[in-house]
Amino acid sequence: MHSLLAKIFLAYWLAAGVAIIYSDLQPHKLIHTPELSDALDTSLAINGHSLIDAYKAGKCSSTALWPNQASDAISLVSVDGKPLCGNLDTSSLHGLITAAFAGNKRIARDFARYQLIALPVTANDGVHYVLLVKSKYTSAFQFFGFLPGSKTLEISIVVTFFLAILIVLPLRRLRAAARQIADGNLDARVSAGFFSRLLARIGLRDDIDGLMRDFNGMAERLQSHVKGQQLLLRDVSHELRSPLARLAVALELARDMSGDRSSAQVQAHLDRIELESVRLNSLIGHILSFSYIQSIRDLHHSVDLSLTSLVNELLPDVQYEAEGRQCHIVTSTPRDCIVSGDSDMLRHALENIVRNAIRYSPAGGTVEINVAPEQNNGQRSAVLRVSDTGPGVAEDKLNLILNPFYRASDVRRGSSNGFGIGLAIADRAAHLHSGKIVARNREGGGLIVELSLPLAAMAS
Amino acid sequence: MFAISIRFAAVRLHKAVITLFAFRTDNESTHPTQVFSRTEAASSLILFKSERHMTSILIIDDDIEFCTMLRDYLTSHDMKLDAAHHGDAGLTALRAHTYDVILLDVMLPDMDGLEVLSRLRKISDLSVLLLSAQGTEANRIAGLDEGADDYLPKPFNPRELVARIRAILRRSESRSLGRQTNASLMKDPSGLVLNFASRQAFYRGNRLRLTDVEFTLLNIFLDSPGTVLQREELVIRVFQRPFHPLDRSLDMHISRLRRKLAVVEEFVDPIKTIRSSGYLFASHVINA
Repeated sequence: MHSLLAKIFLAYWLAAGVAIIYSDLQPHKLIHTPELSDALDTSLAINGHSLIDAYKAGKCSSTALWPNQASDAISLVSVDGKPLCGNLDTSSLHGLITAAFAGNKRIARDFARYQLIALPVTANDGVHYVLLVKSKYTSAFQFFGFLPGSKTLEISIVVTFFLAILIVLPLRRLRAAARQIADGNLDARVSAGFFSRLLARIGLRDDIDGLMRDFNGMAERLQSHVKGQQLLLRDVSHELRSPLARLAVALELARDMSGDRSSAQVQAHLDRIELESVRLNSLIGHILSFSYIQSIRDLHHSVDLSLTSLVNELLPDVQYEAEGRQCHIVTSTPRDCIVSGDSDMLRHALENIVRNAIRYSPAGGTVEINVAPEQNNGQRSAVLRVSDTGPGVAEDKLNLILNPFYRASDVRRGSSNGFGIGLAIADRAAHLHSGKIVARNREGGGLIVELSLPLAAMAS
Repeated sequence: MFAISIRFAAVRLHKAVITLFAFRTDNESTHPTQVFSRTEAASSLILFKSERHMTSILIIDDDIEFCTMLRDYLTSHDMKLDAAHHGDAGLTALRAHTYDVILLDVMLPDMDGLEVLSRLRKISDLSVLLLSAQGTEANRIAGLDEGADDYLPKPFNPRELVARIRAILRRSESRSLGRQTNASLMKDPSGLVLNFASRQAFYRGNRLRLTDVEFTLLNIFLDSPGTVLQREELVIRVFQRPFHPLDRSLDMHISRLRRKLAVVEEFVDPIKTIRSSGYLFASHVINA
């Protein structure tokens, strides 16, 4: 049973129902008040005397003496159990008769559907008789709707239902708001429902109202934290890039002023300044995308993507870079794979992996990009494999290269040494797509970086 | 003939024109080069005009030092730069003076640059080049969607900026010149009319407020209805820069243009997307 509403309702209603049924079960037994007891005794004694009169007069066949209810019956018996007058079959009631006569008081026996009452009656002439009455229950045992208690039960249905609603509806609102926040909608707040507002107006605030208030407070804080972080990222990016923007203009002004007369050395230095500022800018970009990709939990724009066309889109850019390092790129995409994901993020991941491979390739080296579906432990995945002919990485440090700014060697051999942050971004992107990145060394030298993603479909 | 006569006039007036012609004059060339030969006339006119008034640019950016340096740089390239450091100041300057191009930074102290852009678009369809230090794709798309003509992430090489500004100016000039034909009016059975003299576009009698990029796009579309125009070709002809597969600027401009046409005629979209290659202008579809 998933619904709290149903649980609360059934629990309360059963409790109320059982209480009502139990109290209904004992209609006559529980006559506590002496007045009522006397009244019952007197009333039964009158019945008894009427029957005695009828018996003496020989008018026992008159149905006027019988109880109004067809289900009830009454009989007069002698103290030794001989039936004298009435419509109740007394053949099996000797024990009851003897007990009533011996005790000289009213005795009742409870049965499932009726109650038997035995009352000793003494006629005016001093002869003792026993009056037997069979009274059928109109009780809860005959189930709801056919008994006087049903009204109580109907009321209890309404009351318990209202009670359940009072508890469950606010919880449902809380749950909906919590789910929205989990989905990334930090504007979501929970508001009091109709009943809660009604109750609050007359001053009835409960723990659930408090919970809602606290929940909203929590959401508020969460939102301001996330916003703060986003603003920080934005500001950091602005603050770091503005000086670079000024630097770029100043550099160009310097170039214009130095003109053609300046020595090749000056030109080389200016080129170096430009190169380093471009590197710095791309590093800033990487750091920003790393903190962005770490801050998100779910993909928002998932679409079906072809890995092959992702590679093809990327090729012109990376080919240009590869030419700069005198190495070339070979692609092999025998079967296209369709994966589901965020195109910008995957493209970025792919670009980082390929650029990393280019960076570590020696002049004249080859970077191979391979897309193929693979079967692994019964799971089909799309695997993009990028292998280079570079120096590779020591076996025990293979899984460290996915950490940001990990350096394979402690010696800084040049600005291009170090894995930087590109692979860390790619790794995080893979995780967000329920995939993974594995790095291993290639036989004969070089590093293989494998990006595997869940296969959405296979292109024909 | 018209173009040639302008060229002569320009050559006589300004020697610099020759250097501009020097880099591409062949006529039997493929698409990219064809663009340059087609725009020659327009380019020469800019230089011709710059004799009388320098290209006037407004930058809205809160970085004062940056603006000062950029002014120095642009001045050396025959461009005059005014700077406003607040969004409000920028809008005020726009009302007071006439500019050829606006450079707008996305992050401003008083209001969001995109907010400035949307207010600006209400009063003018001047060409806007967005500058942004955020450099995210979402940022770029939002800017182009709000009606920016082009987008340049900061930091940028100022030579690139000058190239972009020149491209914007050429578009602007071709708008009043009628680049593809020498007629001052271009009509299409679909009900589109481009008036080069008044620089206005009409669609079924309704005036369209188009940016220069959108006007140029329509001009190219009307010039070759019913033919598939490759995305690469369109980028080169409109932005006068090489095509980059990841650059979605063209698609953003087309989608804006579509929206403007849809305001007039809701259910007819004359611009068809040809999957993975380009766009096609189907004028016959809306033959009323």
